[in-house]
Order: sequence, then C-alpha cells, then structure tokens
Amino acid sequence: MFRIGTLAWLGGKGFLVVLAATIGYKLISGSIPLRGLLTGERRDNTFYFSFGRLQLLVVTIIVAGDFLWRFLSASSHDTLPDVSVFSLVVLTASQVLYLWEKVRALRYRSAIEKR
Amino acid sequence: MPNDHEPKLTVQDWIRYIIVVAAAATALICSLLVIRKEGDAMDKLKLATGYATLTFLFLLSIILLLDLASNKIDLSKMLEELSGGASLSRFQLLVFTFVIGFSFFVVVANSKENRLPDIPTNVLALLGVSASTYAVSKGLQISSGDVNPDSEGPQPNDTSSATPQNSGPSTPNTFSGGPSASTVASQADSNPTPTVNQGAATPERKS
Repeated sequence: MFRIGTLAWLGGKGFLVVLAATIGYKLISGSIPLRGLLTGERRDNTFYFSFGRLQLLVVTIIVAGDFLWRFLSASSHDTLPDVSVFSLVVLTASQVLYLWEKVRALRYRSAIEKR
Repeated sequence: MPNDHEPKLTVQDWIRYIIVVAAAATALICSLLVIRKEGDAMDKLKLATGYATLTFLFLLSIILLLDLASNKIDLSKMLEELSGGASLSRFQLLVFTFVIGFSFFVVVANSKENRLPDIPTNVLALLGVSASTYAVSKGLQISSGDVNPDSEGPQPNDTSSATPQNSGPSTPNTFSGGPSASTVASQADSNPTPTVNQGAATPERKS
C-alpha cells in the first residue's frame, strides 16, 4: 500500500496542475475573456491602448517568473525563496502607476460628466 | 402525481453522484484495510482517518474539476471588471496567487517537520501589494459609479448597498440610476447643451 504522504503529494500536485491547465485553456480559448485587458476607455466610448496597464502586465510577468524560476532552480524545496527588495519596490511603483492612470481616467470622465 | 417542475438528472449529475458514492466507499474500505493490520490502535486510527480524508478530498476535487471543465462553475467573469472588460488588477492577483500557492504546496509536501513552513516577509508583502491594488481599483470604480449594470457587485439601483447619496438628480452617476459616465460623455459629444442625468429609467449598458 502506498504511503499516505506520497498519495497526498500526488493528489495535490495533480489537482493544482489540472486546475491551472483548465484555467489556462479557458484563458486561451476565450471562455474567460481577456478583451480590454490592455485598453482604457475614452469619454466617447472609444478605447485606447493603455501603457499603464502594459507596464503592470510586464512587471507582473517578470516578478512572478523570477520567483518561480528561483524556486524551481533551487537545490532543495524546503523553503520559499525570498523576494528582493528591489523587485518589491519596482512592483509597488508599477501598481501605483497603474492606479494613478486609473484615477486620472475616472476623474477626467467625472469632470466631463459634471460639465 | 408526477411533478413537471422536478429537475431531470443529467449524465453529469449521475457521474457526480457515482463519484461521491465511490469516494465514500473507497474511504471506508481504506479505513477497514488499515484497521485490520496489526499495530498500535491509536496509530491505526490516525492512519485510517488520514486515508479516508485523503480519498474523500481527492474524489471531491475531481467533481470540482469536472464542474469547472463543464462550465457548471462559471469562470467567465473571473477577470471581469465592474465596468466590463478584463481587469488587470484581478489578473495580476490571479498570477501571484497561483505562483506562490503552488510553491507553498511544494514546500509543504517536501517539509520534514510536522508544521507549516515559514513564509518570508517580502513574499507576504508581495501578496499584500497585489491584493491592495485589486481592492483600491475596485473601490475607485464603485466610488465613481463606473459600474456595469450586468456585472457583479453593487448596482446603480441596488438600495440594499451603502448609498449615501442616493436621491436627487443633482448627484450625477453616484448610484442614482442615471446614465453612466460614458453615456453622459457621449451625449455631451453629440449635444452642445447636455442635460446631465435626466433620470433615465434604464441605464444604458456599457460595452
């Protein structure tokens, strides 16, 4: 009979992998729509390409990829790798930039509305 | 007398029931097999409980995955912003949650000690920054009234939610049931003297 730890490890790993694959497939196939991920909306209901969103997406992919790479390339998986302060500062700045652009867009539309 | 409104069981429902029954039966058989072995009674009880719980959780997760795959659990609005369209703040929170969650599971599985592993402070800060951005983004949208009537969350005509300024036409687009900001803006483009928030009964749906 298998050891209970081995079974839990295999079952949990399989569940997470299949869950990630399911969500990934739904993202690629369009079941989870990604329309508007990198676009903002103007006052006349037209859309523009948003660099604030693009930079957040790029920074997110870089920071998450760096974390995953350092974890997978470690000799032992007993502890989580730490995130560097530089990465944290860059990510925070990126998020603030994204929020600032969002606030600006909402305030602009609000001003148009009050006019 | 047969009830016409009684829901009919589909093949997926039957598969779900079969899996649940199989889970219970397998958990019971595993427990009995463990209990029949020789050894300390307390150890056998712990092992039997562990096998039963593991088997049940495993088959329960299969049901969850089946429901996700068959769209019975709808994920189509998982990344949807309140005003419509995909939300980047939700997307980045999803990415970080998955990456750190998977890593944490691997660490727990490889841990030799009988306790949960420590999480570095900066990793917690990373998750905090990510989740805070999502919360602030959502708060900004709700406070500005930039909400799609079809989406989740507080609705413009929802009187049950907190609506401090819910009356009068002098509060344009603050949960007052008026047209959305983009609708008014498009009116302003087409009409040189726009009349803001005339109390339209049905707010226009955004894209």
